[in-house]
Amino acid sequence: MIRKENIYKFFSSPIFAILVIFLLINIFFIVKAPDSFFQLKNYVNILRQSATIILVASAATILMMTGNIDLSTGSVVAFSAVIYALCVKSGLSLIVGGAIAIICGIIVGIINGVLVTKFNFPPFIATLGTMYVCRGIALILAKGTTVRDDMPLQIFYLAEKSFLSIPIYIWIVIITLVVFIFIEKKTLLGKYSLAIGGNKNAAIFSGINTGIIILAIYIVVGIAASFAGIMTASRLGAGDPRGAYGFEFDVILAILLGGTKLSGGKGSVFGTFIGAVIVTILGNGLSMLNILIFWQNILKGVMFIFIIVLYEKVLKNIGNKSLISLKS
Amino acid sequence: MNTKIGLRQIDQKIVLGGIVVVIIIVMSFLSPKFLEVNNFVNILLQISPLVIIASAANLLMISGNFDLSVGGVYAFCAILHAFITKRGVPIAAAIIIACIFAIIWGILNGVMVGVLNVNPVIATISTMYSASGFAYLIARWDGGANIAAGLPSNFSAFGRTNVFGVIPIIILIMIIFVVIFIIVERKTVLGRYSFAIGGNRQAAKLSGINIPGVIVALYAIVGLLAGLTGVIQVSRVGSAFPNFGEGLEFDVLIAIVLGGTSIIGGEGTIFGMLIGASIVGLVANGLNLMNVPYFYQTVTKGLILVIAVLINQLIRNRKRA
Amino acid sequence: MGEINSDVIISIDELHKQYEGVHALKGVTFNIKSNSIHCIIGENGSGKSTLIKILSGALDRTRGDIKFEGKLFNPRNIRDARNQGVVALYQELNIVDDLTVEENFTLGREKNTLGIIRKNSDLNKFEDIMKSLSESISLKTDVRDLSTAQKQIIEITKAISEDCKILIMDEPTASLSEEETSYIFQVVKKLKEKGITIIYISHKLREVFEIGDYVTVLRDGQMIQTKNVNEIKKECKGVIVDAYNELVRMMLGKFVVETYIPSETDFTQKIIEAKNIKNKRLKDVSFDLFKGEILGFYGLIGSGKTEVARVLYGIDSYDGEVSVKGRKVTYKNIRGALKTGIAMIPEERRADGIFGELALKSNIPMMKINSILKNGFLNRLKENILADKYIKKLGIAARNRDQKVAFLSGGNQQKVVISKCLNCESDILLMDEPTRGVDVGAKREIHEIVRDFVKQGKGAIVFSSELPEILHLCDRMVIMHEGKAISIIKNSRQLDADKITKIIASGGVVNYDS
Repeated sequence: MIRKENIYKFFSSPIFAILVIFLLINIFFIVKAPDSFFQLKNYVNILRQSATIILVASAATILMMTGNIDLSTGSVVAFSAVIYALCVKSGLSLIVGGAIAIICGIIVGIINGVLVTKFNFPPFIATLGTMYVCRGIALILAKGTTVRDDMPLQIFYLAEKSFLSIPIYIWIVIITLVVFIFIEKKTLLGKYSLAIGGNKNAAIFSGINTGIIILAIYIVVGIAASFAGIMTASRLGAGDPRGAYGFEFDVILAILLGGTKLSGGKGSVFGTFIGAVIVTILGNGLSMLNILIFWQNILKGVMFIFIIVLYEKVLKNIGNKSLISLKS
Repeated sequence: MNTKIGLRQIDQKIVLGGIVVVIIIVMSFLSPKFLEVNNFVNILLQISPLVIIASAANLLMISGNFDLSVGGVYAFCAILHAFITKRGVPIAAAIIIACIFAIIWGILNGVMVGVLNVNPVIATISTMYSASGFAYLIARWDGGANIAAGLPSNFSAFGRTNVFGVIPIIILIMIIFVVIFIIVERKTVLGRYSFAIGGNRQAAKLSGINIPGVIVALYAIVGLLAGLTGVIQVSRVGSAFPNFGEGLEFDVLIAIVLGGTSIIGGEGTIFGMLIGASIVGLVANGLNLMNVPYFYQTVTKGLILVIAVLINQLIRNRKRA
Repeated sequence: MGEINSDVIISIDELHKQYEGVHALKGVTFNIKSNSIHCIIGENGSGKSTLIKILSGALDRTRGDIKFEGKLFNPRNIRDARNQGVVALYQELNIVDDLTVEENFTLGREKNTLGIIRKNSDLNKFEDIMKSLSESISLKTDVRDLSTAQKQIIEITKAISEDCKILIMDEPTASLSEEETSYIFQVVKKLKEKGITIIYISHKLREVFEIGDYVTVLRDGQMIQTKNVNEIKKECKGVIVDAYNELVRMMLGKFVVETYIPSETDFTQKIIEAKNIKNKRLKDVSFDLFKGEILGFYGLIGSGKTEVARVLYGIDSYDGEVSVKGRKVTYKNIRGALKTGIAMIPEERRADGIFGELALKSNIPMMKINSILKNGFLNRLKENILADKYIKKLGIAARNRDQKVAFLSGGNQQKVVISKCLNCESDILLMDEPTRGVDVGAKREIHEIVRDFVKQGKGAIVFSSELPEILHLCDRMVIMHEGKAISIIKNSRQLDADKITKIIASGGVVNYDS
């Protein structure tokens, strides 16, 4: 009896849905572009390209589990990329430059967290504000252009080196997944985030300090985003203040695809991982088919709606129905 | 709204009015060109699209919702208009067609938010992506990144008209719509229902108000105005770029919030929005005159948004206490 | 020297609670014996929930003392009360659906190293507790998949595991089935066996007799009586109806019934005919409403009165047949109900009735906006005239017609809501607790308004938990009890109020061997 229930549950869960979607997308591109798509090299490339979004989206998944969002991630990526590039350019070591960039990410995270928890800002407004401010500061620091000239070659380090013959970016993906799935399932931070999003009152009654938890997670997202900025600067060898436009929405899309609800509660870092890969594949595959990036944007718009309707309205009913018929 | 103007609302408007005066004084010191008549006309031209769209978006926010897709719809209609007039469609018909599409985008938003109960952030962002994507596509189909060449000779006639020989048409349209929305807010069923829904949604439901209907209507109107404004502006400028109106939704949001309209709905006035839009416009203009690079404006706007909401929250808390 | 009664675990002495001009508790004094099941009953406004909130640490008291195990008890907050062993369980369950049973148990108290959760070796403790209460529920189950009763078991288990001495249960069986209710009763009895004191709040009187040891009746913020349940049974010689009646009488109190004034009802013309209404909350309700009649629905809280109103107004779905003015109705929403000629004044005026931030004059036309339209636009003159009309007709006391409704008193807010409905010019008016929280003067005025309304050959249904109101106003009354319409009585000047309470008393009594 129990096993049957679990099987029904799996099939009606968002994880299953997204695995199916993932499979279908792969099949689509394999058919359409067999020579270029279905290559190990391509898949490795996809994983590398999705590294930044996987990193930020994993952190943002925990945030969304509390029922909050962060629209400033893209701007923080750009902001941090610019700072990192400027630091390296002026001769600071990679580590020091990186540290400074991450500190900036922490500051943004603190601002977001305080606005939301202490001043009761709706999260979308608070992070919209920081999004604009960060973007603006990035442009100011970069004086309106990409920070590229006279850039020491070591900036490419992170993007090009490998460790044990696995590219560092792939390591970052692996570590990110391990760390955040661990946080999600085995730490207080993860469990409390779920509780806050699932039943805030119950969390408060259990003695959980919801303000601190939410603040902490905004800071973690800030760190992830700033690190992603470092990665981006590494890859391009430059700090582009205009980069990562729309990144925050790709992140949200990946999270929603992965089955985490916008309203909070149950979430899945693993689902987000698949979602992030799907988002990247769509970009990668569609480019291979010479489909204009604009179709991709339209597709993203449609997907947002499709996912919400699918997961929250359709799947919920399917899941409920099967369980009801099993209960005696 | 025929409500007696509460003490709080007077407070905020006085504060805002004061801010406007301060800005004008400061700017006039910082730049000699600021006080010229020409400059004020420029400011009006700058904020006209913003004010037109914000008049409708203000009512939308009063009902407790918002629209982040206006920039995308604006660009889409601008490009569409250019595209089809280039291919021989008469100007008047092209304007109408573009407006129809604008309404369709609006209805799409309205259905998602009002009927399917999708979160307004997600719903309108997705529309923004779609509309913006199509804008870029249409430009591509035309053969380039934007549509600048090959437009009919009377393309700019509409946008560059000066009514009575003096008033640029967009400013006139702005005035017309502000007046229209003052009336809508205070004297129409739609306005009254918006306040009701934003003020107490449950009571609105129990009073028999068709909540989905009102929401769809509001979004459709905002969409229409976004598209119409796009058409006028593209005609005025003379060529169409798909990134037209980028960041417009943000300016609209700031103008409305700065003007005292509550994010959760139920209160707000057009006059507040006008002051908010003026502040946005004055700041932008002033910075331009001082040759400050545009990205400082981005930072300033972000700060203004945060401060405006902060003030609103603090006032509301003081009132409740 | 005072005698130390080691039997008494909580003693409440002259407890007062005042807030916002409402005197919720007026010197409540009684004792709760250790290891007993102590029931607290009372109607709306009796002070029940305020008392519970103070005991559980959610509210501060204004005056008076509470002693817990002989020592002064003054918890700073809910956590503090919990730590001292007083736990309250409410209807809105404080568990997280997205977590498993085991995760809920350990929420807030996880064994961890620097935030990394460690395996909890204490889980046996929880399983043991669950087993001793009822069946054991697998720790790995998602709470989402449990039934309401099971979720309550989880909450109870969690409370006990934290060494609670006093468990306050607020309407635990409100949304449970018969089966689940018996199940909870078993659990409560086992809790008593463990030495825990249970304070049990319920509006289902028969539960008092089924599991209660003591019962305290509250009314209007005062403690009316605290009695040993067995004594009540003895006094009534085992006739349970009489015992029940005793309780109801204590809860409602002695009241002066103003003479009933009959309306001119035309008993040959039905405006509403309702047959076999059934849904989640209603078991089988049938009734008629005649032209010119004021029909009353009376029952204690939870009897299903409001649910009938919601069905008629198109809010809730139902099985059964409803005909209005001879025609079967098909509407499924509020707009449909309004179109069919039914308007409703909701129970909670602040949440569902008024637009607080709007002016008085803007509230009134809201349900029929075209009453102030001229040429398609809202006409200020018409709006003002309409507002003045109702201000005069209903005697609404406000500074002027522009005043925000949020600033009006409860009675006047209610008058605004009534004006809103009257303005619809509907044929049928539904009024849910029309004079709750309204002063005597306004009460009388509102009753007159209802009488006026039906004089025009219309019909009104008053849903009320105030018996005097029903007896004074209604021509016939439907007595509701736990979702069923158990009796329909014709009103007359000779009607004895006691008869009504007896009917309710006999409506759901469980048979007892005395």
